[in-house]
Amino acid sequence: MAPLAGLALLYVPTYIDLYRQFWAAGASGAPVMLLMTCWLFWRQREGLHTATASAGGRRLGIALAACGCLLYYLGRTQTFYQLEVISQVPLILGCVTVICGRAGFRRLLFPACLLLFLVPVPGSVLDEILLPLKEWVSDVVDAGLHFAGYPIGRTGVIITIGPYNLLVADACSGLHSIIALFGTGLIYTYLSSSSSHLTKGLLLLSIVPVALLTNVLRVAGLTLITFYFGEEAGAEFHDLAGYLEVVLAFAALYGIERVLILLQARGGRA
Amino acid sequence: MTSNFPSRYRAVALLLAMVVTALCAAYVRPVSVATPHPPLAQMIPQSFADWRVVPDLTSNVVNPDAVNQGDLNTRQPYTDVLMRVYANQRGDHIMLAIAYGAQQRQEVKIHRPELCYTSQGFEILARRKASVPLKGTHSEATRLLVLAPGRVEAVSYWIRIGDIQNASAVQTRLYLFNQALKGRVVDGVLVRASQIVASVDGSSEGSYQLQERFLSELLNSVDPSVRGILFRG
Repeated sequence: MAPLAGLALLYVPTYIDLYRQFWAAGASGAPVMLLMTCWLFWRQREGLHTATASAGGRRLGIALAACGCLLYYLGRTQTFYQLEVISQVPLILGCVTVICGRAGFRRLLFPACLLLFLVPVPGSVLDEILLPLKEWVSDVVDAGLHFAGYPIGRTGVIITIGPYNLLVADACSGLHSIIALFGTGLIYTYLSSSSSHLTKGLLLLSIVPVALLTNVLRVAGLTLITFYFGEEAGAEFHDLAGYLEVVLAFAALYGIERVLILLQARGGRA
Repeated sequence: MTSNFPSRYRAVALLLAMVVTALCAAYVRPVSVATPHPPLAQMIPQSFADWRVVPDLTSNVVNPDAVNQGDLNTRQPYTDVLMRVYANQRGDHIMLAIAYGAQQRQEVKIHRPELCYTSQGFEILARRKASVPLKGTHSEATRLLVLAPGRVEAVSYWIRIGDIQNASAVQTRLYLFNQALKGRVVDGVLVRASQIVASVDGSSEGSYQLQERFLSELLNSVDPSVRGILFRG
């Protein structure tokens, strides 16, 4: 599998850089996304073995691969991580099209596009888009824990609980992991075997509320752990929180799907 | 798996293409075009016009080099940082911070003060551009008003990256992209003056004008070569 070696040569350095720059802090759900995407690629192994190449596919494949290599070169030489990550999509699709034809292209299209979720969005852009959501999450946690009787307050960017101060920064409110949650939801709808388009559509729509609610739980959990066990424990929880949140979201979407299928069946019978 | 010759040929061709790409990415890179110069501490005078350095107050200056995101230290783009407090005859104190980075890249470049201040617990109350008379022409600088418990600070700054100054995030990225296509990696500098003001309203306008006069006098008092490093229109 020569192209795989080539891909490893190009992208192992990319992922090392991504880890050092963006993921080591533990605030991102991207590593989980990466694992799930790799798994989706792996699922296609048998299908790719039986696919054969056609001439038309080859030209498309070469164009895509060339585009991917160019984007990678520009990204790598300019420390432009976004371009490096994006370049994977045309490069991987190009390789598979050259070897396995259009059938291969179709099989890997969804998993390859999922790699776009790994693109590190510049912090400033991300803050602009997600600031209202971040405010909302902070408000809900503040109101909820206050209602439950905890000594909690919020002044601007700082949550005060008991004697502790928490900076409501990206790490705490999990902005990056909201994107990973969208990815998780997309993967879930892609894999789910429910037949109705309505069900799939509703499931996709429910990703937003599920993402927000798991985020609220994450911030509340972090706040409570800091309150009961101190700031050390809170810092430890940061790393775990990203992964827990994705698992929780997956479980929630599974539950919602069960309910929707149940309603779908009831609707069919009536 | 049918391992026919054409298929294997294609696979190896792809591998070769990727190896060539990797080699180009490692060895055919843009080159740094920053001219070498002495450290900032030597280039920036200890006293000029009406201003003199106050040696023991440097810890008051908000460090432009400290931007932490959670536990992660992003790659610091600064090769030289200067922090000083100057005072004039009237007793006004102005904090000067200059941060220079020899190589500016897409994801490794001068941080805006907004980022530094918010990551150290300040809140940005106001932000606007102002046209400032500097060195005989009018130039654009950015004015901030920042708040921390017990401290209100009025800040004026500009950021020069290569030949452009005070550009937006998008403009900066496009400029860096074009420079890289020409094979160049440019340098960049943040020049920031600030003063602690008494309250959130009222006194800041006078403070901004004082800071901008301070910066203008600083630029006038240095060599043209130093001026070119700090400022470009």
